[in-house]
Amino acid sequence: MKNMKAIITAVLLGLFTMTLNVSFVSAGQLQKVTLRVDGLACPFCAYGLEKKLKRIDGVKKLDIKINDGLVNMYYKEGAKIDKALITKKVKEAGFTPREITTQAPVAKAEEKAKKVTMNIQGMQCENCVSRIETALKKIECVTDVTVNLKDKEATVLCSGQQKDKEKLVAAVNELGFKAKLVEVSND
Amino acid sequence: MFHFKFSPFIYTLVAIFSFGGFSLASAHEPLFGLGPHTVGQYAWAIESNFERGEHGWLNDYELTYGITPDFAVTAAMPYVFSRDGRNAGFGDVLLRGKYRFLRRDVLNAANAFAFHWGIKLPTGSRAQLRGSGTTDYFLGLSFGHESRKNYAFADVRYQVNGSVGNIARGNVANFDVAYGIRPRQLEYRQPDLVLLIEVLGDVTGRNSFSGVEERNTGGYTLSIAPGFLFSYRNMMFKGGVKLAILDKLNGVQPRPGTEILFGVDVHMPPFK
Repeated sequence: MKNMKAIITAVLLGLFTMTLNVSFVSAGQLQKVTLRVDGLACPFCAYGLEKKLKRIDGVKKLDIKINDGLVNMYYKEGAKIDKALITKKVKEAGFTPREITTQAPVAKAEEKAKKVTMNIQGMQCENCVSRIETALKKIECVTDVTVNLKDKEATVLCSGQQKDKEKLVAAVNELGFKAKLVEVSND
Repeated sequence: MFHFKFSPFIYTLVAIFSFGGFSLASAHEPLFGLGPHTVGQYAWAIESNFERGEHGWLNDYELTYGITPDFAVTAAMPYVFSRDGRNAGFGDVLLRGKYRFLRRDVLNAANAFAFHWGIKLPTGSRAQLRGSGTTDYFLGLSFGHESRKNYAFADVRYQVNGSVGNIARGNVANFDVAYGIRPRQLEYRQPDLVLLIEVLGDVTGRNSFSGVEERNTGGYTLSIAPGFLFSYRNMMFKGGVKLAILDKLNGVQPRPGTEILFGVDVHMPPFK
């Protein structure tokens, strides 16, 4: 009898833990939708697009990458992704939607952007600044880049994992500069 | 020595309201001309510009609403400052519409054509030199190319001026071509600067008094206008100076002066 009770308790505990794990994983994931939007040429005009898309039910976060003509939408887990509604909202904003891609759920850890500061040696002029900015913006996790020639520093907002921070350093080094991570802090 | 057939007051009054009076600047568009940009459906924008022209200084307020993604309407009203401070007050209301009938969006760029129309109502006091006392109309056509680095605009418009008493003001034809450049193409949540240069032409018909054309009215002017558009998210600050570089005015008239414009344009969140 004692053994039976122990076994039942163990099974119940095990089931409970599994449930917790499943719930934890589900609550921590966002669904990412990437739009390609044509006609997106100016930040001032993009404001209307941002406001339209943010009103859609389930949208938790929006990231507009004007230079790439892309909008990354992050829906909360379980939310319904209505491509027809997204298309309608983009058109209402005065732009042309070209492609809507739904990606696999992303971990919630990626949602919060970290401020990454790098020291960069070898910059000589604004052209170097421009090259570094362009290279860093191509990295998936990057939402914002500021390069300061005078301070020999770059500040990057990156919402990725540790390996993404290493990609930032590698991207700058590939251009012929010497980059070193100085600080990673919450944005 | 010059002989004026009519009181210089009449010429001044006519001159003040023969030029300008239609505020046109909005968003990424020429400062002194027309552009095809619209605000988006259910979206709205407010604008306030300080302008100095031949009439002196005025502060123009505008409210724009997007009925469809390609159709926007604007109501504008200037507050006219007087030199002596006694006659300051609101001037003539302008209602205008814009329909973007052709648009081609590609990656990072857009090309568009739009029709424009407007009506200026005689709501300002003519006696206090804040209004023309006439209902005037205009029609226009604009083209705009917008990309991450370059802007190009061109527009033409024709303004039909009404009559006040026995004075019929000459109609005005305008054109504007503009080029703009964005020196640094930063991302969405970063400041954005566009530098503009415009070339503008105005051809004004002669005024007439009791059906007789006035010698010292009308002519044409060619101007150049450098300017800037500086924005951050939904707020834009802009400014420019319009300088006459060539003019051929009929008879004896004061030379065109320098026009100045600076203001702010705010895009508000759409209603839905």
